[in-house]
Amino acid sequence: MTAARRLEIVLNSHRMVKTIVVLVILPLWLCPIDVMAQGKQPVATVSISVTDSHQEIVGDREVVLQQAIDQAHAECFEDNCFPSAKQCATCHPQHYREWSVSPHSYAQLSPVFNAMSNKLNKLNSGTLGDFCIRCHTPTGMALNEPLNTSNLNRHPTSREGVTCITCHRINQAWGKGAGRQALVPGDVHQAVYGPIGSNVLNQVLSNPDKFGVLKTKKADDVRGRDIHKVSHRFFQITTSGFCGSCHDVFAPNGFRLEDAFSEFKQSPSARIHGHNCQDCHMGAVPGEAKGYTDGPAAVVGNVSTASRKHTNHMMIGPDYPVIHRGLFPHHPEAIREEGAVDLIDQATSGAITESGLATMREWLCFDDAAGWGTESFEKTVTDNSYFPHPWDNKQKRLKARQILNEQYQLLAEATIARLQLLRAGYHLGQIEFHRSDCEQVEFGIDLRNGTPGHGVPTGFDAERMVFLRVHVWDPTGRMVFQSGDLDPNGDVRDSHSLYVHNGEIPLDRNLVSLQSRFVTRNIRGGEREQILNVPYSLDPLPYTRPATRAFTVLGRPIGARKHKQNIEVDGGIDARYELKGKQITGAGTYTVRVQLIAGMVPVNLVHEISDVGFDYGMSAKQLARAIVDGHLVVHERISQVRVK
Amino acid sequence: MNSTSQHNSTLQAIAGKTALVLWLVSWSMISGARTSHAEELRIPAVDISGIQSSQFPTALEIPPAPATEEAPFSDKKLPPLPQSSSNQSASNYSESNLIPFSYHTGPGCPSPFAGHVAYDPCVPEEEEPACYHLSEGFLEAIGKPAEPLSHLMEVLLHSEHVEPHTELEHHAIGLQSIPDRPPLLLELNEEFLGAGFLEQGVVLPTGAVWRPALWVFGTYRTGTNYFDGGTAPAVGEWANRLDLFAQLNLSGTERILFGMRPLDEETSTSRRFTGYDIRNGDSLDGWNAEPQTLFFEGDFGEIFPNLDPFDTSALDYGFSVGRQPLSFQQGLLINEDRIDAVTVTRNTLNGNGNLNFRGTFVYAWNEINRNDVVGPNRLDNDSQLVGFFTESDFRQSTVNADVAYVWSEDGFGDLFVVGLSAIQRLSGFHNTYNSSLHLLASIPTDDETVYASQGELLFHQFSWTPHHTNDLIFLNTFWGIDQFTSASRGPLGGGPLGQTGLLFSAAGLGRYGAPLNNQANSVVGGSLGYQMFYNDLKEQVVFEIGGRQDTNGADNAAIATGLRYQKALDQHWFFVIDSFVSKGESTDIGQGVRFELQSKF
Repeated sequence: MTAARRLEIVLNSHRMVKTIVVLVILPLWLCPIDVMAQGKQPVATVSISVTDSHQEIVGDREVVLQQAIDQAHAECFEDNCFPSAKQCATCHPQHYREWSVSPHSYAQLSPVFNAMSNKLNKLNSGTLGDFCIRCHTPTGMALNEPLNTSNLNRHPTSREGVTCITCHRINQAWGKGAGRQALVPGDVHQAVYGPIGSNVLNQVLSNPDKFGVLKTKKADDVRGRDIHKVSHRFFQITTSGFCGSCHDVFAPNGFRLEDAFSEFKQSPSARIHGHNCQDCHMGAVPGEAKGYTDGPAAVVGNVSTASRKHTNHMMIGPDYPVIHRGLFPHHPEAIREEGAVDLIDQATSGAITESGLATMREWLCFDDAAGWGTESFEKTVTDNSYFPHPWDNKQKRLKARQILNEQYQLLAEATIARLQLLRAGYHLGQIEFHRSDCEQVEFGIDLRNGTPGHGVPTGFDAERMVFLRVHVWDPTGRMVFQSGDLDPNGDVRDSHSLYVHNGEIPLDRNLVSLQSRFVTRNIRGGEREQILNVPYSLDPLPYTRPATRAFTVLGRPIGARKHKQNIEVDGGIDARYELKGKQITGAGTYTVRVQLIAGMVPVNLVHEISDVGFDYGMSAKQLARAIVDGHLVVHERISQVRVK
Repeated sequence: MNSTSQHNSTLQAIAGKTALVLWLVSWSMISGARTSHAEELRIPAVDISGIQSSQFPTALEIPPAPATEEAPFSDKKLPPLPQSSSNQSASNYSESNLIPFSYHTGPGCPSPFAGHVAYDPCVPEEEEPACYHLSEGFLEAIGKPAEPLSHLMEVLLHSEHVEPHTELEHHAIGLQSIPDRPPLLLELNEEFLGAGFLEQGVVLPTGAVWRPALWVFGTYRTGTNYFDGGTAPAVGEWANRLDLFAQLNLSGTERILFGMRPLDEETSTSRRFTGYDIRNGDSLDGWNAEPQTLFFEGDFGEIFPNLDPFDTSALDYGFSVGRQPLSFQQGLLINEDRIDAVTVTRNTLNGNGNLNFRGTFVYAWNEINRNDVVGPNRLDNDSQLVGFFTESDFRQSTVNADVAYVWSEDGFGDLFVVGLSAIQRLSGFHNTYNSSLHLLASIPTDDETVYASQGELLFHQFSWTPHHTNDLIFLNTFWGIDQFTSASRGPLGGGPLGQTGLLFSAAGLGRYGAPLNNQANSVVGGSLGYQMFYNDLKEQVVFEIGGRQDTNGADNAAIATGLRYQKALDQHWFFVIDSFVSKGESTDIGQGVRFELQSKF
């Protein structure tokens, strides 16, 4: 099948969607009138963008429309023009397992990301369009899914975010394009693009006795394993430029949101050592170019292919998941799509269908914290205990717990990898005392960039929390100095903390934070920091349009920019602290503890974006708590000094 | 009848499903809340101490976590510390022990997580020096009118003042609707930031992949002005302006932009706007077909990727060539709305404490308007300009250091200009303050003319946001020594002081000029303004007072006060109302009011 033919199929499927929607909606147009006449409450007005024309659907028409969309989606899924990672997992279990807990696989599931994208669109009057989400779910955007919808409603592959085909169905060297690459559509038999080519694949295909029957095209009457027919060598996938197509993010108005790739291009890693992104982020040790492990490219019919260089697809980063553990990491047995046949209800053996244990909505009802499915909990269950369907089935609760245990194990591995990555990126020196007498205690500590590849933090550095937490106790054990502590919301006490902003607790004037800052132009009065980079002071209708001046000249638009405050390559910060006055309570031994803390995003971001709502029924408070719970202690130093 | 019955049963089924979904969502909210709360206390039977994967070593340096998440640390919980060997030297404690990690272990168990270490109000704070106390007290006094003003306007406008709450919301609100993407006037081959399938690109011989798309967009402004500056006859007019752009988008980094302003025509000293002169009863004709903007820009490394296939040569030089707007030092040094130039930019360099350096070389050869320090700016097609403009992010400040040289063989004079600015936020004890300090100098290298004069300008912008609001209070001041001259300013650019305040800048639509003179000739002055936000940021009010005093004994002091109200009407339209009253030492009372509708598309 030619690429043109495949494209035609995709386009036709979109026409089919429109046709179905029109045919279903028109006859039922009057339904809500009947519903209202019967005194039923209308559902809230929601605008759903299905076709190019925007339609306002009120009441139960929404439900009907949703069914039509579901049906249309189901047909598209059947065509399977963008296969799920689950299909790839059949032959690539190690790659799948690593990817399943990766930031890439969490990209679209993140409720913080989705709310931030929606909030930026709201502030920009909708003009930001798919700018953010195009990278986070290239498949969803290729399928023309709505920008603002719950992940519970998205295509399975769309939910997978940066999934297998996001990289392995790219066949052109797009360069720095903020993620607007074309995906090659096609079912699982479609050719894939990788670093090596078809050598291993050809060996597998030519040896059915060893690897079993393999199908390289759709054949319902043949029993065998579906497999891609060819793997093309695609040079660019081995280069940093391939990563840079998404990890150098600049908006059409010239705003440089992220420039990890540009930083890398100027770094010693690129210019002296000749490393690439993959060496540090897909290698044996997270964050360090220490070679690769070996492993089979695939396991076909329980037979492994020959061992070769293995690239770790976990590609760990500073983000961490904050959603229900049943939804993330991706688990091949966890999620059943809405409408899929649930065979477990028909079988008492507890066997699970290939389609997954429960739907995402059902997983959200599973009370992980209460211990459902654990031995100790199940002993307490009586006939009067209530569980929502399907968790009233004990077999399902037990299976869910089994899955969750595997999830936690994988998350622990990811946490360790995250810690390794962060420790490679940040080097903390020893506490040095410069003065210690009864008038003043002065000490400092050196924080340095540990990687030669880019600044730290990099990428989404304007919302990345890395800071020093410093506490000092006097000889009696009373705390006399604090910095890097959190306000009741969970923010450090910088100017973005709502408690500081509203004057309810003091600013942490000693805070050492590596968070870069969005700075926006005021109508007058220079610039100010804002949590989001929308210059609403200039006029009441911020808009995103192509820059009307050459954006290369200033490297940014007039109205907004990013003030970088990370640590450059080979750079460092000599953090200094002073105690004086009431902070020195007398002679004796003072104890100083310095911790380097790394978090995902600041809580004030959660507040800023909360008015557009969060997916999975989460509240701002819940999210904030989960974010703070994920803060890691990257390094810690403790020291004492005697004051006479 | 049967069909009605069947239909009703269908509806009931739909209603039932809706109720089920709502119930599930509400249950998930409750369940989620409980999960979040209970996770801290739960000890699941999960242990990864046996991980053998080569990617995940079993023994890692994990620091001991605080014993509880509530109290940061107490002496009883301190780890065993080595004895200090002397009273001055400190002994550094080894970072951590080698402890395997289990996810979600209980309190007291090894964990790499930091937990919520809360602010303790009992800990003594740094004492506030007297100088801070005085200066911040002064600023608080200046900011006092903001609160009553905001409440007054809240009543008058019937709009809710934007006041962020301190505490996070406990309740989930579900996904809210957001505006749909408004399409551009024309989108060919690919929608601008639109969802949908993306086509394959065209591979150039250089290796670059382009996917051309044509986008047409712009803004339209229409408004009525009454302007009486107190020095010249009053103006009453209806004026229109259309900024129309067509972009041939080639890739993420390459594009060709064409722009026109068909309703206002550039003259040698100003622009003529299409509309109607109400006082004289004449129609105004500014129709024209001149290209206002036409340039190509791109990234050398992206156009020729095959020259650096492994991305190790840092060939990412940005460049632009053609007719384009240029602005440096926030418009103080250069402020051109169209100039024929070539630019080359190097970005994202760092080192030696410079976290992000951008350097841009500019050479302009045509359409250069020279800044007239006494009259309107004048086009000199014989002038040429060369300059180097930089921006550096340091930890505390963003520094711009710029130099430019403009020369002419047409009697306008040769001029060397330099600009240095530092933009930062200053942490006080009561608030955080935005500061932007600019130092500029113009040095004629030949005979001094009104277009090339000796002078210096100190320009400071200062602002802050009062607690419990997103409002802005700004206090901008300037000191012009002698006759500072910008290297190049467009016909509507006026003098360099436009950034001082709304009272110092023209509307850019018709002949509604600046209420206060914005030239920087031997003068001191400033403005104080209050910007307040209402209606979810879609409505704004700005109050401002400003003044200037000549320092050369010319007795041309002037003061003014003004008000701006602007409000978004929908996804495309917003309106602006401006008014002012001014009084000059040697001029009559000036006054003006304008109403403008602006559409973005």
